[in-house]
Amino acid sequence: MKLPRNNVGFSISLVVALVLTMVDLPHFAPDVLTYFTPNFALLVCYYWATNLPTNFSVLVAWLFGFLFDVLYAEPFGLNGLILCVVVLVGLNLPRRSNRPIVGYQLLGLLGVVIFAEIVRLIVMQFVEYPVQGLIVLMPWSIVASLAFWFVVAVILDRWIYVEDTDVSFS
Amino acid sequence: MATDARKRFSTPTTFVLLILVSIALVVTDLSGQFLGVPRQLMTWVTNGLYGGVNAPGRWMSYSSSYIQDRQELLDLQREREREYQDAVVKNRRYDSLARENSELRHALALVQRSPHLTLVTAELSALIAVPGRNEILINRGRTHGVQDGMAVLDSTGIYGQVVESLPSTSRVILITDRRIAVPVLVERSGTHAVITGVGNSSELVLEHAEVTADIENGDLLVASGLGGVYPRGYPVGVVTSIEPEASGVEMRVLVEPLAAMHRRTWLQVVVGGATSEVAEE
Repeated sequence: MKLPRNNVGFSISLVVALVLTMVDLPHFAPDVLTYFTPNFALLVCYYWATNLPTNFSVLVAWLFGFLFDVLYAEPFGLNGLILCVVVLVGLNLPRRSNRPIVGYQLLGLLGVVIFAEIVRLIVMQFVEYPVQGLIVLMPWSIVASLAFWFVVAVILDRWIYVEDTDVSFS
Repeated sequence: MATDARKRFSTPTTFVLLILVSIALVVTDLSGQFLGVPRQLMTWVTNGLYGGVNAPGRWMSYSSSYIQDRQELLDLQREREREYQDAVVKNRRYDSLARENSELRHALALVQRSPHLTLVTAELSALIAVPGRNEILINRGRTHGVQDGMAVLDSTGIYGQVVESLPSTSRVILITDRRIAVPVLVERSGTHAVITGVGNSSELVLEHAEVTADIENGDLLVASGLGGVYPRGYPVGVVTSIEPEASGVEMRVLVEPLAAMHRRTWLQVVVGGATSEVAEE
């Protein structure tokens, strides 16, 4: 069954993730908060991949990632690659009654967040000014993404997502 | 049908294809050979997007900082005004203290250069504000040795004469009063004369000066010591104007008193040795 509300919610959430990524911190916010910036694109894609597999195309995720490559001025294909893997993991999570099992969902999230940071670390080593040391793994960003996941999940679950009774993607 | 299309784009083949494309793009971009121009073009778009997204935040930040800055400036201005007023008051007090200090130094100098005079330092208590009367009250009286008829000096010239001494205060008539006369002599020529007040604090008149008298503009008049009231040789005033009277026999000589009339706080009462000569400064 086609659910327009989910399509609109999906689009809105992608746009919001885009804006949140681009927006600067308020002038009164301490600079240390920049280390705690969650990966909004990853969270949103992961949510829709796990909760609405039938309506979410991996091609959209890749294009979305490409857009982030442009916005972040990161190597083309980097975020597309990451979001493809995120969607791949999200679509293949074990499910019960067409909804992902929460434990597996969190485990998958942890995996994709760490994967994303490692891939970014590896690729960024080849750019002109690579950052040395373990700090580039950005554990704070991983922590922030995991913490912010609950906010994303609650907002999208409660106000955006409408459960699809259609067959699940497999 | 749409769902089918999405499923078609989510097949394992699509995944593999997209991942391979991603890796190829990353490698190509890192090589820096082929994607420079597209990236530059896209940068223009992203710059606009960043500007648009951050515009409200920047506007709010600017507005809040403007309002905050304005309030801070207003507070600062009020604080500076208060400090300025305090400084003005303090400055006036310092001026007053400096003036008083200067007067005291002059008074001390007067005492030092007039060793034959016995002086009592007195402070101005009040001005007697009666039209036509140039009188003051000082805070020294009979208990301090002050008696009627004693001369009163300031550091620069003869000031007046005690006309009524009370136990702790005295009334002093200034030399600018019409009722008082001071015997003087012209220091340059030694010509004797008498000056009286005209009721004006900046002017004295030399009485009955004949046209043949040896008096010139700028002559210094000093107390002659006649009468034994004013110490001989102490400055009284300077001739400022000489004009012949209509009669042709006398001339009108105006003298500016050297004592700072109504501008002194500290005065000296000559309680002894008035007949001795005052040393030159």
